Amino acid sequence: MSPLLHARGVAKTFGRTRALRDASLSIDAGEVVAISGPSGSGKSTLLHCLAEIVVPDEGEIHYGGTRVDELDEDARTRLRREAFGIVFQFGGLVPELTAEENVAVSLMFRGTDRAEASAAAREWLERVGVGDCAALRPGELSGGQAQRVAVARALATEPAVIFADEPTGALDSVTGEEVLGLLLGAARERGATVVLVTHDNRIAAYADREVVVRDGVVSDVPAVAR
Amino acid sequence: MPFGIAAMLARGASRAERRRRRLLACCAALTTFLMLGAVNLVMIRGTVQTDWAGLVAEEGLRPGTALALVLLVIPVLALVHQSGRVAQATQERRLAALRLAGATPGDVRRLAAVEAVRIGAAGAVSGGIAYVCAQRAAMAALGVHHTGRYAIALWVVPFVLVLVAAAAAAVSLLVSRHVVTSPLHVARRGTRPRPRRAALIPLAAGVALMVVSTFVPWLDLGHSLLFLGAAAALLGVMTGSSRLVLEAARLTARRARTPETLLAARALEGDPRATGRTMAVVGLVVAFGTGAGVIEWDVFHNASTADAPIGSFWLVSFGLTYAALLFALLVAVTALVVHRAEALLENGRSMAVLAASGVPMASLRRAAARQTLIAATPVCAVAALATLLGMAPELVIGPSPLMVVWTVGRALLMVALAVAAAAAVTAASGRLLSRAAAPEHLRTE
Ligand SMILES: Nc1ncnc2c1ncn2[C@@H]1O[C@H](COP(=O)(O)OP(=O)(O)OP(=O)(O)O)[C@@H](O)[C@H]1O
Ligand SMILES: [Mg+2]
Repeated sequence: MSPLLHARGVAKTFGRTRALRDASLSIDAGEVVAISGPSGSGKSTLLHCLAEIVVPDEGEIHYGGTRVDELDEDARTRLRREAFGIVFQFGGLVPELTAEENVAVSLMFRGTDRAEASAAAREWLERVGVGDCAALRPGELSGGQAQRVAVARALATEPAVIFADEPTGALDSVTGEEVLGLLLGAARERGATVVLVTHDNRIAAYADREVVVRDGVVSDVPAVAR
Repeated sequence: MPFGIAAMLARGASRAERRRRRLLACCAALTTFLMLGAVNLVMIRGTVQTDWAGLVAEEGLRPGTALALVLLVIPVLALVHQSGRVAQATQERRLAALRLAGATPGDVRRLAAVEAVRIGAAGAVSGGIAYVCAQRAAMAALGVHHTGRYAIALWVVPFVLVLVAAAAAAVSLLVSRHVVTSPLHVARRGTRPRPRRAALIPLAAGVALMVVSTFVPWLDLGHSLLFLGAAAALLGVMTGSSRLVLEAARLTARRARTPETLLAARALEGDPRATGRTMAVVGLVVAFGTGAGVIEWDVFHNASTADAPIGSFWLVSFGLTYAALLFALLVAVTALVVHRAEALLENGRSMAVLAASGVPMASLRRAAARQTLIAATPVCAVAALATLLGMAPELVIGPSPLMVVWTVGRALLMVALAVAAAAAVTAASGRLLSRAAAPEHLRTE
């Protein structure tokens, strides 16, 4: 079986910083992969390349057997919208929208009408345990609550791949593990693939596989070493 | 901590801060220029019969012209307010650092005032110099530079300069009154108050007065009431625009069917004042433009019935009026761009996250344009309606239905123009949006 997501020899330079040199990585459908490594090693850059947010300078990225890094911006945007879900360290919620609207809007951008999107949003907020925060705005939520809303937003569109860049980085360890449990639970239930950036070993232990990025180079951590 | 050291530390120089200083200095210069023009006009004595410079040469018209110049300061003030918020976040962080280093809240406030006076004075002086030069050049062009009658008395110039600089300091204190600088936190803004419903009272009262005035049997009283009502309604457009914007945003948010509209309406609802202030100016432009349309009809109509050419006095006057309206619109639109840039700086990350999750840039751009439309349409429509109402007697006893069509058409045209101008700005600031939504902003501080 060919991998769902496959990167080969990816390199990316920002100004004079070589954020990624030679990153190669294969991820199978339904797999949960943790990307770890020291700060500044290029984890986020790798994630952005895999998620088609950033175009690599060199190398290839294939998704579902098709080369995607050469697609134009429109096509990549469509791919992100239809197949990917994204969670960041700090929710990145739209500050003026309520929690419910934040989730609903992402559905509406995919063509769901408002009433249906709102109902689905409420359901997702219930599922991640912040149902009673539906009418609050991000400024009125705690960090943990905001992160749950962000998780609901990413999950609501039922993406095939969920990319998460230190989704628990700003939370205390108990809340962090709860939020991660929700994310991985919902993903595994649907057989979705998860790419998870973290520098916390305990978080990485939740994954099926861990890859380490060091100075822009990716290496697989063999299962025995964990 | 000695004040001098604090002042030195406070002199931050981020690009955004330099831009803010430049904007504020420009505003001070513009204000000075306009005020000097008004003072200059008021101080001239006597009438000169000229055919086309009547607004300036005739004793009876000069106060009106001077008033118009003073009114042009209003859009500049809206711009000042908006510019004051440029780089506010960095400034607040710097001030918080100052507090941590031992400056008292009083020191911080004094620093802000000192900075404002410095910027205001720099702007005022350049505005003053520009005015004196421009005035000399204008007199030379008109061939009246040999009579001292029209030259501005140089002794009033410093007075105006000091006035503008002092006003700058006052405005800066007013703007910073919501900022609570604490040493621990990045400065926390006291909650921004929502525009109250009471702000609509002058507008409602003005419209009511105008309606009542048409039923008053005594003509004199009726006219006074009408005038009072029109003045109150204009004032109401200014005071009430933020509330109008808020109401429109709420209504739209409730009924929004597309995500773009929902984003736009909620963004407005979150900060109706910033847009409201600009829209107040745009609304005034619509009101004056509509009013000018009625007078224009009168002049054209009289000329055509008397079979005489339209006097150059009128042509020049109309030209100047439209130039003034255009100036006001330009300044208002600049304020809108400044606001947009600032809002994107503040909220850029959430836009970047939306873009990363697959929302096309075109959608984000549409949302931005809709935000402007939702704000501009109701304010402009209310301004045009209030003006038409104020002009109702002219329209009702007017000689022809053609005039009604002309005036209403004119009002619609003004609304369309103003709304289009506002929307065009948003479209033009699309680059700002693309930059704000770029993936670099996904990186956490
Ligand atoms: N847009 C950008 N402009 C300039 N430099 C960048 C940009 N994005 C990343 N870099 C640089 O590339 C390198 C890798 O950055 P990246 O964000 O991928 O690291 P990271 O492993 O995610 O680090 P962290 O754990 O701190 O989040 C860093 O040196 C960073 O400064
Ligand atoms: Mg990172």
